[in-house]
Amino acid sequence: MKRYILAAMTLCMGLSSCDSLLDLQPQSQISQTDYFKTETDLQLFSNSFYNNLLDKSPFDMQSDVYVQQNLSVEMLGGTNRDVPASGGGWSWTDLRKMNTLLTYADQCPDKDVVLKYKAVTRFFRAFFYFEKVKRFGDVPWYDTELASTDETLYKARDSRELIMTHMIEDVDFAIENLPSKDEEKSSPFRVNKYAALALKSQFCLYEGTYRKYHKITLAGHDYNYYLQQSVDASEKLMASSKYKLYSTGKPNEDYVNLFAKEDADPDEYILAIKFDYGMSILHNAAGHTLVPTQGKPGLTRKMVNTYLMKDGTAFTNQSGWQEMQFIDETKNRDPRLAQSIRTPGYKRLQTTKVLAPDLSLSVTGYQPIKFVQEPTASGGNVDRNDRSTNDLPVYRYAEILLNYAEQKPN
Amino acid sequence: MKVIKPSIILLLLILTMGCIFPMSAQNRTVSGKVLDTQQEPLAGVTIHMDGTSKGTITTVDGTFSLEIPSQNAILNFTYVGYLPQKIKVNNSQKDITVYMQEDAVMLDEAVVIGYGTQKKVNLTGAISTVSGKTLENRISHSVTNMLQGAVAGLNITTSSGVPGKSPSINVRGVTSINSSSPLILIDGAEGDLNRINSNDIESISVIKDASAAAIYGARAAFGVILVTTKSGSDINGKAKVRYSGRVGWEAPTTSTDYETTGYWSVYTVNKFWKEKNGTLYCDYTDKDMQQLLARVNDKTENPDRPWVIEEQRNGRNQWVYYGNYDWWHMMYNDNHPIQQHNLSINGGNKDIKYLLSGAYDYQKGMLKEHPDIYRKYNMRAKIDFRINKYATMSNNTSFYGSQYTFQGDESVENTFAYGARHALACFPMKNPDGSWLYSTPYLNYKVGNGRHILLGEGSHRNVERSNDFSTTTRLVIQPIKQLKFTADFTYRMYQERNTSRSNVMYFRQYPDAEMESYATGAGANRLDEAVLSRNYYSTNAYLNYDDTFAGKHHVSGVVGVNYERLNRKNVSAYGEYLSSTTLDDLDLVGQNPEGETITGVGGGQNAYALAGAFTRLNYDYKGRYLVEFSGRYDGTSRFAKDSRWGFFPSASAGWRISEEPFFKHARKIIDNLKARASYGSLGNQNVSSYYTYMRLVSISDFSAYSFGEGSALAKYSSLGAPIASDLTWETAQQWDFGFDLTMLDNRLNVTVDGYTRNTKDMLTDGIQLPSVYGASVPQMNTADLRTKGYEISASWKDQFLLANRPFEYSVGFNLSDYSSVITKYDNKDKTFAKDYYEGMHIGEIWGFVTDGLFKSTEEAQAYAKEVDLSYMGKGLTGGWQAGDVKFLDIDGSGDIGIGQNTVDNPGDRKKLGNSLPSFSYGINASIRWCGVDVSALFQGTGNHYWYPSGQSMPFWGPYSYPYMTFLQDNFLDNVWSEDNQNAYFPRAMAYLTTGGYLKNINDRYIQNIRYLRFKNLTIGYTLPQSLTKRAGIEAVRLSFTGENLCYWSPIKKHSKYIDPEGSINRSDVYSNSFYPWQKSYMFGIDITF
Repeated sequence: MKRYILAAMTLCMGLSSCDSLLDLQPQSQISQTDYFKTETDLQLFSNSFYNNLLDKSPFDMQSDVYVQQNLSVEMLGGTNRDVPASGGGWSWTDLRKMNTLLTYADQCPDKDVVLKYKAVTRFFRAFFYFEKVKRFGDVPWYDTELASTDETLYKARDSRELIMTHMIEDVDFAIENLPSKDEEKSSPFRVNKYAALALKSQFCLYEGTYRKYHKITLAGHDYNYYLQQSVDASEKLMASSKYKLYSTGKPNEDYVNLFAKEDADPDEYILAIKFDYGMSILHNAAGHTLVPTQGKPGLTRKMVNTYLMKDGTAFTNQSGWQEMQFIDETKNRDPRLAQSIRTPGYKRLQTTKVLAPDLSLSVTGYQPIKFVQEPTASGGNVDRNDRSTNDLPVYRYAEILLNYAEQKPN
Repeated sequence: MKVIKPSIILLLLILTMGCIFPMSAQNRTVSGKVLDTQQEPLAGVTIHMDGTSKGTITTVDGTFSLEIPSQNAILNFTYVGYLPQKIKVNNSQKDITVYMQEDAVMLDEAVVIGYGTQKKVNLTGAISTVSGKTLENRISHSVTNMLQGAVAGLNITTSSGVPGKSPSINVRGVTSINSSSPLILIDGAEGDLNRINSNDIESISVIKDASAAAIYGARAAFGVILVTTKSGSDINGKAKVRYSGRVGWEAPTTSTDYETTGYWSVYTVNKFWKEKNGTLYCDYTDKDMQQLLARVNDKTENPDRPWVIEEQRNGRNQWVYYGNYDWWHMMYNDNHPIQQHNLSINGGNKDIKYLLSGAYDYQKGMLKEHPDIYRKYNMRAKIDFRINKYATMSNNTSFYGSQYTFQGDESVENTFAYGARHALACFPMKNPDGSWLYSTPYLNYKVGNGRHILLGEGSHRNVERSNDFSTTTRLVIQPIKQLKFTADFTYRMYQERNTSRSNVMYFRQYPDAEMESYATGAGANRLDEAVLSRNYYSTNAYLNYDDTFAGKHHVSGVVGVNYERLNRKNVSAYGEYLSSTTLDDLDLVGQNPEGETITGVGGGQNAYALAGAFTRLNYDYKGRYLVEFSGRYDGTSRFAKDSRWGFFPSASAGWRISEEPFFKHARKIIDNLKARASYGSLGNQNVSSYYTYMRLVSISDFSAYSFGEGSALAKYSSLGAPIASDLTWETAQQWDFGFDLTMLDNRLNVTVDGYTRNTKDMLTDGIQLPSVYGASVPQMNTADLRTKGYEISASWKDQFLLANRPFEYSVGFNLSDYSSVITKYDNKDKTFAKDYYEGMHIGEIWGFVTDGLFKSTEEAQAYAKEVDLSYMGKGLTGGWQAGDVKFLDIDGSGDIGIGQNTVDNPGDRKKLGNSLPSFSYGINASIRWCGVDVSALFQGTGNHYWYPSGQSMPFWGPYSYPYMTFLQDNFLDNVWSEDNQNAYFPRAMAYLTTGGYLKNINDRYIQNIRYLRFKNLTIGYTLPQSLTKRAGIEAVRLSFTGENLCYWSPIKKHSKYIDPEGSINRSDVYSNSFYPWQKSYMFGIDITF
């Protein structure tokens, strides 16, 4: 019997050499320790930030200046607005991916590449938190990949001041380390230094004006600081002379043409999203305004009233503006009004038929035409659901100029 | 069995009187023959006269001659494997014929257990055996199917009626929330039960409890099935050849009589559609409906009333379809042929034994125009030879090949599912000019989704090929009787090669229009090829010891090691725009109209390895007290280094009460009574990924994003989900108690088992984390499950003489039941939003309570004012009306709803039943007499419930999707109307089950799918030996076998189109219509040379 116990024990000890037989590595997938080594690795990992965060819809469904037949719950308010248990913008998976990339990017031996992609990531982190602050105000700040046992999972919301400070750090790093417009060959579809400047200009203006007009004072910076930051960013971008407004000398057509162009204008669009018929990357700008079952969108009169007269005076200074009928109210207005909604004499791009606003397609009658392509686009199918293929802008030069114009006098 | 002599008393008297006169003690000779119940002579039967030392053995012809003293004698006939006979021979009897009956129970039979064998009497675990003979009469392509109803506690569920598809198998019920199936070993190496030739099987051992399975370690947590194949036998150099062939046909178990009149088909669909949408589905005018009505009784086309006419409508020539077409029988055959052939040769002598067998299986499927065909090939060669006095070596090589060719896009079931819509009975498959009917101005949809075109054209060729080659070489060295050393090595290579072709389909919409083409999706000109290869190696080395000390202490043990490895590799490719529509090869890939070549590739490979050391020790005292310990130390490559190894012990004990001295008196009727108990703890390493402890990067294409860097969609990479750092084994701990009883000369056999199995640390979603975590919660070992159950099996086998021939009969049944409860899960509030909660019975169904249909619209409206029905009434066009289902507000909250969606506050729901069967049983019976044998098998389950899914058109008819190709005939008889208030179904409305109130589980439409199925009937006749022997043939048997002959089930009341076994486990789109379950009838012949 002893012999057998001994034999069994030697077998068990022999098994420890078996352990190496059980060390198997994956053969068709790379493990995390072997990834993040080349530029392609870092680029592919950061590609999903574009897809997940940039807004691919040409229209804003939550505001009070652009409505549909069924009003959004934000507009209806009251008991129509249920606070959901999940969703509603409270999604953090992209932040985790960004923090993951920032943690592992150093595995790559090429330091320039590391800086570039860390910059891309921090651009998007600032972008991500901007959306969160706009929607929720105070939110918790995370800059590491959280473990399931972390106490900080349960921490309270951080003040927007903290978030904004971090956002400015992130976007400054991005401005510092992102390539310029010419170095980034896929501009405007990939972020470059100027996209970061545009983002900074936008969110600092938002924060400054939010605090100014809501009369909010927080420990830290005051609203002037943010407005100044915005102005500085705008100035820096303007000084680079890399961008200019799209103009063919026809102010009554350029505005609508710019937005309906198939390809993003490389001189005016700073960051854009590509749409393409052959690859089935499509959006619904045309279908949204031309198919009766798509919500019947329209601008509100409140929005239309903000368009100035051709001579620069306010429309609301005109006498009898409250009761002015459609044909009169559209006379002598800023040329952009006729290029944003159907006004008397509207002809669709590359057509000759005059089209009146169609109340079966627009609930307010101020039927949008921005982003609507000519009828021959997308193989003639553009008017169907989800068949529009014109590239959409995220930031364009005109916005920077407007940001600057708004705050410079202050 | 006793030979009855009426005048025995008289003879005794004479004899005793004869004793007064001292007669000399004379001898006499008694002779005769000994046969078995098939009239076969038995050689080597021992005959012994009671009270003397006189005895003899029967010769090769079964005859004997014995000299015994002249007096009445009792002769004992004994033979291994047969019940002993005591025959009274009186003085005048000289020639007797004795029939020996086979011992069905065979207590001394050696049962195959892990790494060894054990006598059945000595088993202390719950092990059931199935002999290869019981499988011989079953018809199926898969041995798994043949086991249905054969063993208590073995649950087989067939997933599909498609030829060649394999069923799923589990031992003792729900094993884990991550489902796990039992380990299947064929001759010691992992194999596939669906591929082995059933005629090659000698016996199958089903190990149900943990103690006997422990020796297999990590993969045996949920039972082990050991298959032993037949070997060559020592028949002194002669070869035994056996051929068996069967020919027959198959047909669906459910009805295929659908609505085939155009009028009722269009009328019903339009009625349901209009109630929901207010418009017509099929744009026929009232005049068209009159035309259809005029033809409603025409079974074939009457030339006065043609079924397709051409007339001017909407300014152009149009075909108008007034037919009465039977779409099911135009696309599918009900009866289709099947064949099976089997040939085996075995023989040997004391030094070499061999076995060679081959089988061929052919089945034509249901598709009509271009039938789908399934073929299966098996071959096995086994050779055992003696190297020298101590060592023997054997090699077992088997080959399996199968091929299933069918028309379809991706799968044959896709055709059934998509073809089940939009082809009303008024439409033919082809227009009068021979072009296919696909698009028509009367529908906004496409007739039959074009599936009839691909079936009719034969251009969508799919081939699924499978090969499996396995070879095991084994060396056995036995230096002394007590010690045996075995080493074996197995190599197995199996591979699947699948080809799938689709082609452009053409159709015409108007008589004078151009031919149009359907060239995307199912109509794309595309070829997909894939090769999935697997290589498997395993090796075992173990030492067996067996000895008895002092005639009382029997000790045996085994110790050994085992290593296995599996490598998998997949390669796939596809190409579009092939230059030929009849040839299928990637070399033919051409370019699309824009000049681009469209191709794609895919790969994938991984591997796993297992290593372990095991031991088992058995001890029994005088065969009375039995004890066994076993243990296994197992390691797997799937877990990280520190959590890779696990130790799994088990113990069991038994007490043969019948061997006790105090039991002596009962021994007359009770042959064996044994009580046993066992306990084992086994780990389960069957997690979904082979590399669970690593986070892996996956690279995918965006569905719609590009950076303008080329004409293909951009790619992105992502990291796998975070993992818990302490991931480890699931453990199953099982207690088993049982007893075995054999009575009345081994004729009655009863086995009862009860068990409890706790599966601990099941991998499931861990505790809930806040959204800011940013990923799905890592799986952790946090759930526990308890299963309790019992199994009972009993059998009776006996024979008696009828008209001087033995009449054998046997009856048996098995019954088993289990229930599973979740004992630990992170769901404090017991909300239904999570999959499980503590105390949940697996399979429980919660639903609403109803109270008939509203008799009038006033009643409905009044009720709707009283109780808020808005939760139910979504999408109910026209509001609540007469004929709608009345839902009860059982929680008195004033509205119908789900409350807080927790177990304590489920709103207006309650538990309606359970989807797991309340018990399962099998009943078998057989008789044999005069060469004729008849056997029958019934199999069934107790109550279990099913709520038909929203897309289950065979049950719901047009209440789900209304545009049915296969509309139940006379469906309107079951639909509520003013004149039909007691109908089963409510007011007609389409989409009621997918978007309306019927999508909520309720007690009115929940179905009880318990069933009893007449599973198998076999009638055979063996030609008399005297006839066959003259032709040099040992035996010829003719047989008829029927399988799945008929079934009884409460669901037949509501639907004759759904087989109870086919109702469950269907995913939505395949609930529409699917390849029916088949019953088969076969005639066969068995010839043994």
